[in-house]
Amino acid sequence: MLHCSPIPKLYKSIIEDVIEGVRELFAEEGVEEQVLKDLKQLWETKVMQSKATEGFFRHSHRSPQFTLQLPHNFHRILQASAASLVIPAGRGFPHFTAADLGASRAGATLTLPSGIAYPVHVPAGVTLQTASGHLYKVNMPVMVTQASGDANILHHPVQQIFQTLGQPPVLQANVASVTQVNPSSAQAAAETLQPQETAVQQTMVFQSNVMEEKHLENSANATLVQQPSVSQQQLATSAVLNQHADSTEKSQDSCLHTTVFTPESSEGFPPTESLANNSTSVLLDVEGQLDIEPQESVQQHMSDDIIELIIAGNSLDDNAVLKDSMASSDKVERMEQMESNLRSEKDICSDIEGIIQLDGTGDVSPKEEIPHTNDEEENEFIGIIESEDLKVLEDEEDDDEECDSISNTESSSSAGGDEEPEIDVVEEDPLNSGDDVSEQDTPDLFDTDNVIVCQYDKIHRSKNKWKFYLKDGVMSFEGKDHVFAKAIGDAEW
Amino acid sequence: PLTPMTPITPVTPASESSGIVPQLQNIVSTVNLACKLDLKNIALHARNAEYNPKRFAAVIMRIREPRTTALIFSSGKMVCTGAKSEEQSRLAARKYARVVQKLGFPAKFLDFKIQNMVGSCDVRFPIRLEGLVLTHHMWKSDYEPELFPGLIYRMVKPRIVLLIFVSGKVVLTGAKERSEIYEAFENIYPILKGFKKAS
Repeated sequence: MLHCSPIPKLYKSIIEDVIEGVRELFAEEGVEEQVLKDLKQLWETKVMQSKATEGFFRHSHRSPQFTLQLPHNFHRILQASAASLVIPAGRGFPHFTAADLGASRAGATLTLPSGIAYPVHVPAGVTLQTASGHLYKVNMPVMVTQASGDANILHHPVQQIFQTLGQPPVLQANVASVTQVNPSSAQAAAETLQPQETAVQQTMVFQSNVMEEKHLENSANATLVQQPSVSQQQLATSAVLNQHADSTEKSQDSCLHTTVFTPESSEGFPPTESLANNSTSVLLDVEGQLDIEPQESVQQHMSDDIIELIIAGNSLDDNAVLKDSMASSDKVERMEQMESNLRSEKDICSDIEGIIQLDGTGDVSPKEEIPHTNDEEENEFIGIIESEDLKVLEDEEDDDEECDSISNTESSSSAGGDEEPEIDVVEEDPLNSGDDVSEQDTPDLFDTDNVIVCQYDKIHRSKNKWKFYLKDGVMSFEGKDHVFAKAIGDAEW
Repeated sequence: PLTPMTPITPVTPASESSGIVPQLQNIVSTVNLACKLDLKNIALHARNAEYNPKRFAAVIMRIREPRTTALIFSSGKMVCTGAKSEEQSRLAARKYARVVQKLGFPAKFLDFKIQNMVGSCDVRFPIRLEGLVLTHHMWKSDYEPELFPGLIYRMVKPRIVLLIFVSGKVVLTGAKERSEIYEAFENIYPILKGFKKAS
């Protein structure tokens, strides 16, 4: 399991704090909220592009497991808000229409990123997308609460229907589909899939008062429970899983992996079909998919735990069609055609290799402290500054001094009285003849290399031995950012 | 490490030459760049530059060849220390001036002057400092072993200060010219021989 880097979280929290801080100011100035959102977008995009952090949108690999409890009172169907909501990892769930959830036997276990604040109300019609890319359309309002972090999923009797769309090239360990049944049908489908590796915990377990429960387990420990019969309606195949084919390729954290299950698509199962019919096919599909290896790399990506909630329109059938997107998330269609932050970030992630970084590490940041350069390099100086800042003495004032200059002209004293600029040139040692002097100074600008910006407790030097006691800083080392609260260094110059 | 240079002043045949040549260890020189300098700018753009205005009002810059340190003040005046010879000191000072010039300041190289030279050598025999101070005390020598283990001998001509240690090591400082160092040592050597510790 990879060690979780604290930097993405730190940066995210910084971004959040700043945005929140200026929100009021923006409002006072009459600037639209959208501008603030755009600003935040741009900022995060830039951070991701700079590749300075890893896993910018990845949270702890180990996602806590929480339980989605379906209201046993299926009568209520919450109105899904029309807006699409996308919840990238690390952000709190946006307000949803609060689901009025009562205790219910139905519970689904869905692993959400640690950044998600629990409990979460998921209204009906929401499509959940896990970091692994699985999309689950939630037709039933659910309440997500945080359960113990047990990766192993409980097997709850669930009814689930999920249809897979095609065969995604890579199946992620956790494939879960949530099927929501019309409350009136009093059947909820839930499916629990367990990731092959505990590291990825994205399983949804729906408990429902289902007539029939079935558990499917494959090697991946996934359990599929299918509801044998579903009454009329909206079966929603809530499991729409998108899976990025390249999820396994990329180790970029921000990449999302989604497996797409399209209930009503290629499988040709209309959502309204009876569950029984669907279940079989789904079962097969799922099994097929589950056989596909989720591998460790995938696991890691899945742990990105980005969940997107897309609140579809009221029509449950229409939504949740998410295609299996291969290399780019561009193909993923939003129900509302609303581009999520997450999506854009995924795009960026996909395209990140093609992005030429125009800024970021190329910047010459003002050195607040000693720049962290290679010790052994020969460097005399750097850069050329604007001459605007210079104050230059008047030449006339130098006349007397030039008379005494070391250049050995005895006539200088007599010539000095003339105060003519030409004489000055003769008398002083022209430095330009010193062009050869500075040759070693030819500075190779290594400013773009590793830089540390921090505060210092003490800097000490003995001859050419330096000791640094630094605190609260950020290091940019080979393009990657590292933060530290304390740093001690030794160097020889 | 420097190759020793031969003394400029010829040795008088009457007195026995010590055969020992003091080695120059440090040269301090000053030069006027003749333009006002923005120290913050220099510190931000130059390599190997220190600047703590609260502690000291000058930029401290270092170069490796010759290995020297320069103090650069906002008035445009500069102090160069650490060189082992006059020529090296001048070369280093020019390099610093070049650095400042490349940063955009119209630096010149005026009034280069060596302000102090330090040399050291070893007479290779232990010295009875107590005896020396008895005969040469008053204004010529200070010896307070509890304060400092070396005897401080202030020679009048040339005007050089010598630090003489029991081990026989001698440090000479205060010279404006190399010849002063050599002359001072030749003057003190017979005196030291007179206070050689009989072991």
